[in-house]
Amino acid sequence: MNTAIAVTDLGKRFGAKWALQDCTFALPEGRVCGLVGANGAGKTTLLRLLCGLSRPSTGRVEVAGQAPHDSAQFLSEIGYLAQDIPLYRRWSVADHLRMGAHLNRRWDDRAAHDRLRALRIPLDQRVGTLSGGQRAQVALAMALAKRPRVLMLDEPVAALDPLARRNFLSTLADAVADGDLTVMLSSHLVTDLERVCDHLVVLADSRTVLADGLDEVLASHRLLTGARRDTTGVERDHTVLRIERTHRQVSMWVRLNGALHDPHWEVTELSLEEIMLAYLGLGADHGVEPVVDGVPA
Amino acid sequence: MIRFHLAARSNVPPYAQVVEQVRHALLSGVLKPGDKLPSVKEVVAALAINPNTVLKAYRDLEREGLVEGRQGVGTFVLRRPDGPSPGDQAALERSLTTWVDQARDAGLSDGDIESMVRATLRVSSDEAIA
Amino acid sequence: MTWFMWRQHRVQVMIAAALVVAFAVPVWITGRHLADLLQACRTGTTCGGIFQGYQGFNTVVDLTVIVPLLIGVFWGATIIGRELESGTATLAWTQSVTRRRWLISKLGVLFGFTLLCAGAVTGLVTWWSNTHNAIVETRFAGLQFDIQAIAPIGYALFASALGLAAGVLWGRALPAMATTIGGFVAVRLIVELWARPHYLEPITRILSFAKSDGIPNGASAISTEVTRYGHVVSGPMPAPAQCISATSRPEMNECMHRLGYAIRATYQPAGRFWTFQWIEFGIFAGLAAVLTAVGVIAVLRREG
Repeated sequence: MNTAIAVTDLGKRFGAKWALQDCTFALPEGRVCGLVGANGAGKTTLLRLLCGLSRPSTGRVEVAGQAPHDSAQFLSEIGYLAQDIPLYRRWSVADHLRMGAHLNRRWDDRAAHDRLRALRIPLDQRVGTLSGGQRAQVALAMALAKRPRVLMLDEPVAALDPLARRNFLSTLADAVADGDLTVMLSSHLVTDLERVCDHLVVLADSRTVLADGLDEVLASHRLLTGARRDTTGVERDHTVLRIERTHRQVSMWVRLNGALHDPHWEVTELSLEEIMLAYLGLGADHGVEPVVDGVPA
Repeated sequence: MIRFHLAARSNVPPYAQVVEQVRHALLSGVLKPGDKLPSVKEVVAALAINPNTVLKAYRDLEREGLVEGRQGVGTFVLRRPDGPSPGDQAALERSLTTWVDQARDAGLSDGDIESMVRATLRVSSDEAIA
Repeated sequence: MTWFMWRQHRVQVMIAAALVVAFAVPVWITGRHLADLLQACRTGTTCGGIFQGYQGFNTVVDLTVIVPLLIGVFWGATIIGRELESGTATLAWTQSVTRRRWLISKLGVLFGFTLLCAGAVTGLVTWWSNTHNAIVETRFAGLQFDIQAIAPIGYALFASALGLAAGVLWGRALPAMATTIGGFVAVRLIVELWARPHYLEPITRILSFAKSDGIPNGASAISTEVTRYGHVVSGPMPAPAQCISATSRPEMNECMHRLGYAIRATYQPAGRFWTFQWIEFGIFAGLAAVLTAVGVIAVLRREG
């Protein structure tokens, strides 16, 4: 299977501040990857680096097999939806499609028109008068019509109501079902990630802390609870994300590297949300698990 | 025609939910051998889920011998899974509905009911092993 | 790309075209009339009162001095600045045309349009001013120099380039417009007041009070100083006591002359008009080139 996105030690600095650093992951073709992280964690920076809108300060990045650069050939392989969904407010929907037809090598005009007609978005209406969900659909239709191999979306559904969000993700998933498309979208909403994504990249403190298939993530992360005791065995064999101790009990959020040999632990599956929270809680002390004295959940 | 749905905050992964719902439809007779399952695109459009999820569910069902995928045409039901007859299935569901009503009248929430069911399953499977 | 550029800028182009036409029509009508009057004057009949009734329109023509600034503010500052502000530049940069090609097209539209508009307006004004120039010969002086021949085209190029660079560096239209206004006015004032008088070494001539001399026709006066026996008299100078009794101007002048007073005039002769126009054009076009380069580099290096 080919790699759609390959990133190694990628970093981006603005002045003295690193917006992104030590970023490493590989995304196979055909996946839908969720990019997760707190605000300011580097999600937008990463997406812009992948599109070639921004240039790396360190490290390597390859998208669709080549380093992003300002050429018509590379640009025709990628698609991008910026966070605020920029469109020309006074232009009609049809104007935007025409723009795409003129400015792109590959352009599936018929598919774009069909898609928007099925969504009942009038083509001659000014984009500024459309709802947020409709604007997002127009932008998505434009991005899909240029038939990219890799599509990058920056929090496309953050400002949309639940129905518009569902429709947007439905359109996106439908396009993925057609094949030949890899998607990376940043999002906060766990429910959306669970439905639509099959791969996950988590950024904390501008670094990658998790990058894996969604099934693998769900299968390998567990909550271990038990009477208060020595945890060094677990900490040695597995990756501990978080420990909570009370005077009686200990809870550990872990990523299991192999089987757990100690039968004294009660093992519970973790929801995706709980896993992500554990990773996002890895703040500046990356590598040192924060110890929290508190009441068990 | 079967309509899929996804429970929002379930611990069951999406693809397993799809498998479960197909099995349930087969057991209760909503789907019969020879019927065509919705295409991957149809399910994806209706649920806004990853197409691989649907593919994986259909592949699982194919491995169990319940369905068969025909290239370019669709996925078709082969046989009913082993289990109670449609009549027995319906009877079981009726008695379950009665019990659930009783539990609710007694003051249990849906969450309490689910926990009770899970605990009972655990206990009884432990007993079965022992 | 052509359709895209047209669709983006068609409203602005049409407004500007309408304004130019609205200006051209009265200019053409009045200019023809003035030319006829001039012809009549040359072939001998009346020359007096040619410009009667044209004072109002004179002002309109003089107002074209702000045309270069208008172009810079409403076109230069917005053509890229607005797109950076609203994010549509990112939309354009993620289609399949390179940022370079987009930029070249934008520059082509901006400067092509600038040349057309400034050229049309300046051409009309210069043609219309023929009559004026023939009779009053003031084209080398102040405002007239600024609106005729080719200097205004230089100003317009400069204003557009300044707006362009400001728009890119600010990333927003409004501050870019303000910067363009401020920068344009400042540079124009500096060049006009301090640089222009010195493009070529001015000519100095001593004018005698006795002969009612003046500087030659059409020359651009730089300074006039009163001298006495060759030395400059600085500061305000009331009429000398000996001449107060003079009852007429010629008598006063004769008296001043006898006392040794004269006028030292420094000026640029009329024949240098075109040289000065080309120098001024060159300065502003050069500034425009530098600012455009700044803008281009800033766009290409910008984080998308």
